[in-house]
Amino acid sequence: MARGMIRFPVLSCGRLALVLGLCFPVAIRAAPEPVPDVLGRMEKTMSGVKTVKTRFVQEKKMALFNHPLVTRGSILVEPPSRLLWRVDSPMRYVLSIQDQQAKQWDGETGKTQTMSLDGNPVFSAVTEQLNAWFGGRYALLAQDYDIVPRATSPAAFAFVPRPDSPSAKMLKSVTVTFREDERYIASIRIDDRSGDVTTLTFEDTEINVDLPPEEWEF
Amino acid sequence: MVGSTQGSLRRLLRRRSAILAILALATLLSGVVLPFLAFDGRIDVMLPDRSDLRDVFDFLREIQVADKILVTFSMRDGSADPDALMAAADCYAAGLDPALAAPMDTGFQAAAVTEDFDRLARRLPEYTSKDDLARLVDSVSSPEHVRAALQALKNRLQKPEGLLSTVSPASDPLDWNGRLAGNVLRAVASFGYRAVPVRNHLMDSERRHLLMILQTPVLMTDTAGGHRLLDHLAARAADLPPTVETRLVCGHLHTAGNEAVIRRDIRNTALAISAVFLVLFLGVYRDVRAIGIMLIPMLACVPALALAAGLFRSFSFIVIGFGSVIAGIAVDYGIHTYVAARSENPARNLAGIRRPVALSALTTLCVFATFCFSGIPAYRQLGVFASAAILISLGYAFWALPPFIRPSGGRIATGPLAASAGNPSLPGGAARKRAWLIVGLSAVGFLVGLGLLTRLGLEPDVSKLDGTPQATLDEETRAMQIWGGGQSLAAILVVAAADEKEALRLNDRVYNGLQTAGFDAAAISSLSPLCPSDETRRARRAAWNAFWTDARIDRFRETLTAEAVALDFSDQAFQPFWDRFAEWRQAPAGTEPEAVGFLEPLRRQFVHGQDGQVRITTFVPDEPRWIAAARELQGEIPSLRVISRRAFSEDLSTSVVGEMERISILAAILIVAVTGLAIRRLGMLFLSAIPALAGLIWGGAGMALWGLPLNISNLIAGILVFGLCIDYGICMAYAVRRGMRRDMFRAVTLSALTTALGAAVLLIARHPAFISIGITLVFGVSAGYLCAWLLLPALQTLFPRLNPPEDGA
Repeated sequence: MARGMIRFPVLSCGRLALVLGLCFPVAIRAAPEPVPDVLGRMEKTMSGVKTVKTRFVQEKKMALFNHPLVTRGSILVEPPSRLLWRVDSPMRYVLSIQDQQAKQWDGETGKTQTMSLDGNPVFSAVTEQLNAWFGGRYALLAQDYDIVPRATSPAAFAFVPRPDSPSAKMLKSVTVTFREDERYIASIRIDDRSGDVTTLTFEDTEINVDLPPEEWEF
Repeated sequence: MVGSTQGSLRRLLRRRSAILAILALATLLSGVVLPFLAFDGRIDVMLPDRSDLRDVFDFLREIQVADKILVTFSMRDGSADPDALMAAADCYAAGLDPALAAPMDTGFQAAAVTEDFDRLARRLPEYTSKDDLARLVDSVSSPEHVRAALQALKNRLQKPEGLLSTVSPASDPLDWNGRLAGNVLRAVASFGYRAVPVRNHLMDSERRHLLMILQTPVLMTDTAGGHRLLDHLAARAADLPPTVETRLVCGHLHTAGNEAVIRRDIRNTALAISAVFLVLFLGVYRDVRAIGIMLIPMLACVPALALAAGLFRSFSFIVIGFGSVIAGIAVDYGIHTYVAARSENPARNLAGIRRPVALSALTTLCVFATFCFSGIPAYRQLGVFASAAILISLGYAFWALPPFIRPSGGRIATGPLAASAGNPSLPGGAARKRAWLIVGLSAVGFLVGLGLLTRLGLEPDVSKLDGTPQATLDEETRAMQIWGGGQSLAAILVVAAADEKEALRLNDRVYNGLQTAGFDAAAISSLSPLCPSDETRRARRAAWNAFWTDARIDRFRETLTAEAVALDFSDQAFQPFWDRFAEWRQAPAGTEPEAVGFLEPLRRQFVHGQDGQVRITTFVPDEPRWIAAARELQGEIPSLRVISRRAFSEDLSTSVVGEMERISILAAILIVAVTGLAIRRLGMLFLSAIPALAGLIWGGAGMALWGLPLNISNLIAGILVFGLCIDYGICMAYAVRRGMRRDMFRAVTLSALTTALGAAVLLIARHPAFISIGITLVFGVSAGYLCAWLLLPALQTLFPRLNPPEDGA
């Protein structure tokens, strides 16, 4: 069968079943409920966003540590598939994603690692989520989470993973708060089932600024 | 009394009405039988029987594509609408007839993945290989190493991946489970597939396509079942909303496509050869009765096919495709009969041609009869079909044709062919000069042909003869672009044992053996790291427990606690880890492992049960050094089988070439023996062999000119060229001897022309096997004919003692 029967052939359909076993820490779930109109409006507003350049502060309050972990850095976004995440403190680290390629630079070792997302399902899922959150692809996220409005001014929504999803076992909700002008996100708060909380706050956000190639280099 | 009865019967059989009735009856009866016989378009009909190659072929078909169908759902406008795709897929699946196809039970429950990984983590010691244990020991060997591991954990939590990770850092401070998970994911990723589980469906990352895998009980080789299956899937697709489309990838499409191409080729070539013969015979003879020449092989092919197909369980369409070639050969007997019947002395000439024509048929029969003893099914089928067609055609030509020609005969029209029968009236000197010129030019022709032959390669890959339509192949390429894949070029190592436990043990030995030979584990797609055998599990657990003595554990606990405090981890940060650690030590050795759900589909792709045996596959790069290492392992593991595309091609080449050599030698001996016995003159025999040699050389040279390598189908044609061209030699040598040169020239010319045209119509075919046969025959027969026409008379002019004319000729 294969091209001919001998052609070891063809696409070996059977082994595609392997992917069924992929264990995604972040499962992507779909939501049958309609996306709230306001979220659609946000997405429409954000669809006008061609580039984003912002600084961020990440604060992790975890039972594992006596004190919160605070991370500072910057993010560049060029939706739908380009993102750069730079950590300046307490360590130095850069993650760059472009299409199906990811590149990491570790300031401790000075080493750069390049990987294809095709061959790394976990990393692929994580980067897909990052692109969705920071690129404003809420229609995509609406398939994966129940969306609950939390506030109207500034607008805030909680994305609650569906109960039968793997991420629901670890993740309680992701709350996205928009800026007053609704053009971009002001903060993201992630509540884990364990009680750990991660908050990402965006500062000095610039929208549709020119991001020359050197900004993406590291 | 008996004599008068025989005479009456003979008279009856010469009556046109009786002949027509018998022909109609034979054709009708055979035609009625045909629909009840089995035909198929399988390529493996070209593989030798009872050979390793056939076993390998069947095994590949079994493990790779036999019962799976990939269905890709997409929005026709290319948009991403996962809800619509999932609804369409559910609707499609709900309407499937389980007797034909059903969605594959993937064993994958998205919600259970976390538990699956947890189960895997509880078995960590059993998945920790010797090398992994050494690395693990190293990671706890000093406070610095432990601190570095904890710092790495802290850093990971602050990176983007820490945002969405579900792996609990409290239960895995040193990333031991992370490494295990990494090994599993690498093994999965090594297959190169990409798909995302979305609400119990598989989708691409852009949510533009949805993948459904169906299992079918319909065998790929079941042509009728395959049609029913494809029709059913088409009907299911037709029920979907108009905005959604489905595309299929499955072996059944290859079978159906290949068969459709062959059927279309057979129909087109049959129509083409009919039209060509009609124009040719009517054009040359300007006599409507000449249509009878064309009808002879056509009518003969029907009972011949019924007879041949009845002798085999299933008959190949590829062999039927030879019909036009056989018609081109068998039509010769009618031509000779027609020419003789319309000559100045029909009775004498009809009697006179019987011997050379029968001899000519006999030499051709020698070729096809030899095929009947081949180890390759296609050759045997061809041998029976063609032999029957030739014998029946010969019978029809001698018996059925003359009564329709002779009574109202008259002189045959002098067409353009008559003018070229050489010029025997040239003065001696001029004739010799012309003869030398022809011999010289022929020598150049031979040399050029030989030169081209040196450029000719051999293509042993049977798959190149697959006529699967390009649209089906394009669909596969498209599916691979979306879903990944491409493992198909890997070599496959297979171990077999009576039960799975033993097969897994052998599989571990293969995996370890390859690594011991210095190969990178990352390049080996094996079940071994994911599903080690009981023996391996026991050994690993023993090694784990041997290392983790109470004293070592105490030291490790102290170090971990101290380093954790230094990095601001809380007091009870790693209590879940220590709970799990106690579980690792306490688990009894040798218990059956718990089923890990998401590994089940993997296991099913590696483990195959058949005929009371369990076979487990390993995929490695199909490179000589890998194959050599695997072959060395065969010494230690006798049940290990190495299936390499490269080695397969080489084996096939050796096997088929050997088969062809055997048949060629046998056919050549038979032809020479039959010819020698019939002619019994060395000079004539020598002259007859020259066109055959020219045909062989230029049959191959034609392929070189076309830029194609020789393959197993035109090797058949080569033998045929030999048989046909020796006929031209016999006829022309015989004609010179008997003084029938002019009439015989016409007959041989038309005979070669019809054979070449019969082969030439194959050039309009799409199936690669037919095209190859067409090229070899057209070039070979043309060269043989030119040689018989020009070179033989020239040689007889220069060397008259080779074939002196008979007295009174």
